[in-house]
Amino acid sequence: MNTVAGPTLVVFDLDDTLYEYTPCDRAGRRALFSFANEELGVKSPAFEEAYSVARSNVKARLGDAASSHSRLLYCHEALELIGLRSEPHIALVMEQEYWRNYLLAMTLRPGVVDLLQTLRYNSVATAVVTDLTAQIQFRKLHHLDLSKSIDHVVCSEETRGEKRSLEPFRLLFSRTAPALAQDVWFVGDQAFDAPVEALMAEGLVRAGRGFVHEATPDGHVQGWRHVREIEQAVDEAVGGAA
Amino acid sequence: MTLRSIRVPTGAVVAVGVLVRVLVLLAVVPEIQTVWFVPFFDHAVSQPSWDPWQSYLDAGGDRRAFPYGPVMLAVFGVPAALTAWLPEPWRLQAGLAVALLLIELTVWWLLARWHPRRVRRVVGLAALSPIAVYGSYVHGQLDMLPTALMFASALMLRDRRWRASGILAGLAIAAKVSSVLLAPLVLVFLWRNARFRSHLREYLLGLVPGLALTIVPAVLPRYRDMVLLNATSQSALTYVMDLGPGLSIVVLPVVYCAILALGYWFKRGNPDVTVLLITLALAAVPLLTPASPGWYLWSLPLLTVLAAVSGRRARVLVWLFWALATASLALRASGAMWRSDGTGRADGSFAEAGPFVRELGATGSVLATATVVVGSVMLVLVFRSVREQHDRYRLSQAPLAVAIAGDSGTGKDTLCISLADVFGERATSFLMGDDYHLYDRSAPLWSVTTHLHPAANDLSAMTRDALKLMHGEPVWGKHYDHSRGRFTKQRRIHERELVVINGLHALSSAQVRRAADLSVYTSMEERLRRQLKINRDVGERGHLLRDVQDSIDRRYPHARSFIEPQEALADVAFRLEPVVPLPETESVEPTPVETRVVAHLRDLSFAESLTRELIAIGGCSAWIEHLDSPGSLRMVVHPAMLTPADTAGIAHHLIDRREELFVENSTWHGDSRGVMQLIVVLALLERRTHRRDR
Repeated sequence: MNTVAGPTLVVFDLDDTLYEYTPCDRAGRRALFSFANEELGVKSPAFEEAYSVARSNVKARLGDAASSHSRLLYCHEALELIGLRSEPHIALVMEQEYWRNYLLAMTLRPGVVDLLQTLRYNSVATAVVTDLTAQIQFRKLHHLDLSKSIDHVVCSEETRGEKRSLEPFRLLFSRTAPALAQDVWFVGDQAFDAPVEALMAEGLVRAGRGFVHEATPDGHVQGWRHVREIEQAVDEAVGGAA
Repeated sequence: MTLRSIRVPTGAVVAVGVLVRVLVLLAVVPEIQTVWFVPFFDHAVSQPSWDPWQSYLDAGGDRRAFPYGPVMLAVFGVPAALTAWLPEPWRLQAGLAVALLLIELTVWWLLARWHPRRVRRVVGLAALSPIAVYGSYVHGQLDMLPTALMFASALMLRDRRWRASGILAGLAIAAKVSSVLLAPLVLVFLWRNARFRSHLREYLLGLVPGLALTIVPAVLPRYRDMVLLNATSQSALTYVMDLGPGLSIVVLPVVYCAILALGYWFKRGNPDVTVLLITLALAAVPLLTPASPGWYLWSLPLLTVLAAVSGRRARVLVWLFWALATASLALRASGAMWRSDGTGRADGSFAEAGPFVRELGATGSVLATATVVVGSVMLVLVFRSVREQHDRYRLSQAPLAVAIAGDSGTGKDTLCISLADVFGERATSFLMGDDYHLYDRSAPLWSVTTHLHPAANDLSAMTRDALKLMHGEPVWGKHYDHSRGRFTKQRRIHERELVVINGLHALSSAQVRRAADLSVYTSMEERLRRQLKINRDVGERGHLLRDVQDSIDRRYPHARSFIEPQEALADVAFRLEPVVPLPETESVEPTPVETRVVAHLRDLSFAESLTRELIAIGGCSAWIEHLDSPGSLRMVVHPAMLTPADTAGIAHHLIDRREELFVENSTWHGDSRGVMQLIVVLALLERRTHRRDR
């Protein structure tokens, strides 16, 4: 484990990190399936199955690309699968149905606002690096009222690969001042949200720490359950540095 | 670590509560059960009869033994009978104790349903209530059953399940007649509030089974003696104020009637406010009578749920009230005997007042006084806090009121209809400016003036009627029938939850602007307004284009002099603009024009959150321009993508306590109508929430 010091930049993942993903996705899907039932007359189990197959097909075709998460493409493919051929208007309406209900179910995890305020107070820069298309990720950030609390946002749609490929992180560090790479902390839910060693090996980051839900054994990354734990780590690091 | 930071899991709270109760019921046998209830059930089990009250008294039983109705008999009779095989002192009594525990656990479950996000707080408060333990397991009262039924009835009332609420209230009466305190408060609420009046029948029908179970057995004389005319219930009339020789006032009925009057006064109340009044009434009973310990239980779950949202001070006071009541009762009321003392049967000298009562001296009076003082302060605190939260928009004091002015053809009527779509037609009163024109369409005067001139309208009458409606009084007035160009005979405009004053000159009176919660001005980009008028009058009504243009032009001087100045007086000024400039040449243009909404807001703070949600949830383009006059801003929205479901979603997200406002299913619109609905409703509610002068 590195010596504790104040971070220069904290890079957050968005989905399932700053808010809990599952209830939002559940709300979105419920609305989508209800729409299919009421407006298209396709009963829920049949449409759920079509949606699931469509999702798999889109992901298989696109691989690690931001558009592989596109609900518009899932709906479009599902409509094809249930025999309605291409219905762009319905696909758009269904996509909005999903995202509207998803967004309405979103609430920040307890402690996020305090953590961001602590970082801002200590002059620590913040960024969100996230997989998915920019339009919806920006809508999420805006809905959560985080737009003004985050210094940089990178969506995987802006690059050729997703976070697993490190491309979005490379883009982030191409946009930030070199001094910010001194000690970078990563907060996410999955291991690829905190590629501390890989970015250090590339020389993009000089030192760093990661916080993910399931810690990996590389020594730079530790687990977290509550946002408060990260704020405590920041307090300790900033206090130690002082 | 501070005390506040200690987080005890809900399961642990429940476990402690249950453990305490189990230990108490294992350790002691309540005297009242041993002497009254168990012998009654013993007789009922050993000599079953259709009239157990008669049968018991014929066998020489005490007429005070079971002053309860058939529901109580059934619910406690079955577990008592199931434990009839046990040895003394468990025989029959164990069934009563276990039934009480199960009923109390049901109350805890209902508490968790009431406040799903505050389960630990509500269950913890109830579980650690000393009066609950003392009343049911030490003193042995069976009131937890009517308490549970009344609480379930209140929960159904809150959830707008009228018939279920009535059924449970009826069953509570059938369990214990004193539960009758609840129903009149609900009936007054339903009868008095126009929005809810249609549910009165459902509630009354719900009451029928319980009332039948209470009244039908009244043909049995011993039932009447034991249940309806028992000495305990008559103690409700004990506390009197002596006003001189032969003249005294019984306190409890006076206070109860005052609470009923309060319910009557809350003309636009809601079920939550009624629950608050029910709690007041039930909590007032033990404060204003020499109450049995069981009577303190009636308000216990309701006080718990209200205290849970009333702040730490209120919760401490509620608990202190229960603790003082327990201490006071434990000293003066009968108690329990140790189970290990043998049969647990008391001798025949039992009385509800315990052995200490004569030896208390000043202590008893001090404790009783402290209970009443703390209880009264607690009720005031809870009432103020809950009233503030559950009557957020203070509809019970005055209707919401909005005044909408603007030139004709700028969307005033559409906006009015859109507001009625949200609040419900039955909850909206319209005062239309056109009804105050001085002349009908055939009057020759219109050749020299227009409706826009104040002199062509009875504005003083309009102001008088608007003020009356806004004060919650109905008005009578003629109506201008646009299809015939004539006035109808007078009709009554009912006072309702939302008053909309709509007219060319609706903002011209300072009194109206001051009395209304919100003033709105509507306008339209001039070419767009002309285009829409030409589309309607030339395209649909077949008038000549030149005539229509002339009629528009003729109105300009009066519009500039008398209508447009109102814009500067409005809290919200709308302007609809075409997204793409319209052509210079005027003709019928059937293609719909895509518009954007520009709203000029004065001293209103919701714009930022609304803009955020229009962008995030509605997918609209929206932004705010801050103007150089303090507190003024301009909100610009391109609503073409906004669907009714988006508008409803945004409203759902931004409006607190919607259930207080919207009784029927609200209809939200998409596009510019939806944006205008959101802006007016949010502005109206913000103004009402912050307003203290009405």
